[in-house]
Amino acid sequence: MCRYDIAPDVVLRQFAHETVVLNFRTRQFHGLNPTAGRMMEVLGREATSAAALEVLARDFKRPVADIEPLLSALIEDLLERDLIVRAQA
Amino acid sequence: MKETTGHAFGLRLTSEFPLAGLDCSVSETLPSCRLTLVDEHELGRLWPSTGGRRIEEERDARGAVDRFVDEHPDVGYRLFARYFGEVIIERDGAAIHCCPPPVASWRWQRLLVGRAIPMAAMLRGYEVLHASAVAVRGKVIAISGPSGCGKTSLALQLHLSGAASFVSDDVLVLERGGAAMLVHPGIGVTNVRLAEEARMGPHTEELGAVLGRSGRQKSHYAIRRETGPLPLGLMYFLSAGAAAGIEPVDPIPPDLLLGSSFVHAMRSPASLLRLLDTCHALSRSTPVFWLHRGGTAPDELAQIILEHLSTLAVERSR
Repeated sequence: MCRYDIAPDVVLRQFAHETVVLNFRTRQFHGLNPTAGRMMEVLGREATSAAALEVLARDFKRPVADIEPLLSALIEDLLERDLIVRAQA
Repeated sequence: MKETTGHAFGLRLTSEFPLAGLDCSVSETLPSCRLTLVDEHELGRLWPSTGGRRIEEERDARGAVDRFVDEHPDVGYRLFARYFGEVIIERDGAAIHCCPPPVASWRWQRLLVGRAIPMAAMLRGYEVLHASAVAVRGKVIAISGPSGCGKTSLALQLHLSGAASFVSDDVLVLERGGAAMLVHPGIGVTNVRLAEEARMGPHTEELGAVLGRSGRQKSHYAIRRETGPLPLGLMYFLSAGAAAGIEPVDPIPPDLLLGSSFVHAMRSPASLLRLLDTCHALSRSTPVFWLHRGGTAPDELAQIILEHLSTLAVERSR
């Protein structure tokens, strides 16, 4: 079971229809749509990715099976950009 | 040497030389910035030969350096612009050392006023956006958009209409004051394109005294401006548009605000966070509108803005 934290040198700010993620280390801003922004926020808050998946499935009123591939793809993307880090669950 | 003291861009400026357009009233509460004159030898002494790095550079078509910004972790920033000379801005923005070429003071001071002091304002804790501004009924109307899109022309037409007072040319210095956003006035100098100057005709006399002309590009006027900080009322973003008109920017794309930052390269992590937080606060506190030009002349666009502001005032009073 994996846990993901928001990277220590990263902050998020939610605008009306976009989440802006700032990586201090790379000095880059990243824009996430509302769905991805919510996923990143929940992922960083919940104890495991499975727990995040449950919360997001409830939020979006969709089966876990629908959400899982989207969340997995986002996790890969965020890891690649050093915006989240894998932590010990 | 007689010193001049005054304020602009939210800073209390103490200068070893007369600074065109400086409002010489003093506010002791503002962060200070000292302006000194140095020669090339002194400039070289202030800037170590090692440890610096280039963070911005522009070259002309022949490959010659037009301008650059260097950064040194202990000293600060060194700006060079061909024909305008060099300046060193101390790391905390508390002093700017100017090494001008042998040209008229109003000319080399364009680098100081147009780049160096706004950068010092950012280093002293303000956020600085690329926008011209006027004040209408005690609130600042900011006009942002790409370089050369007509921000200054529009601000000057609003000023000439008598319904607005001049606040700043091309540089919007912001301070977060609780829920409101405060705008600090710039310096009392404006740069007018020659085509726009010709269109203004005799009205240019109402702008103020001519400081000089730079080649075939612009005339530079001393202009009376607002003296103290005022709350930001709203922002217009100029766009080409097929027809002239105004429409709300809703929702406000964060990159529209982030992209209007005056300073991109000289950013510490804390300064990047301040930029993000300022834009975040702006998106929540300040109405933002597209202003489509549609080939309309600046004086007509100014009338469109004044009508829009009147409509908004009526709506608010209901």
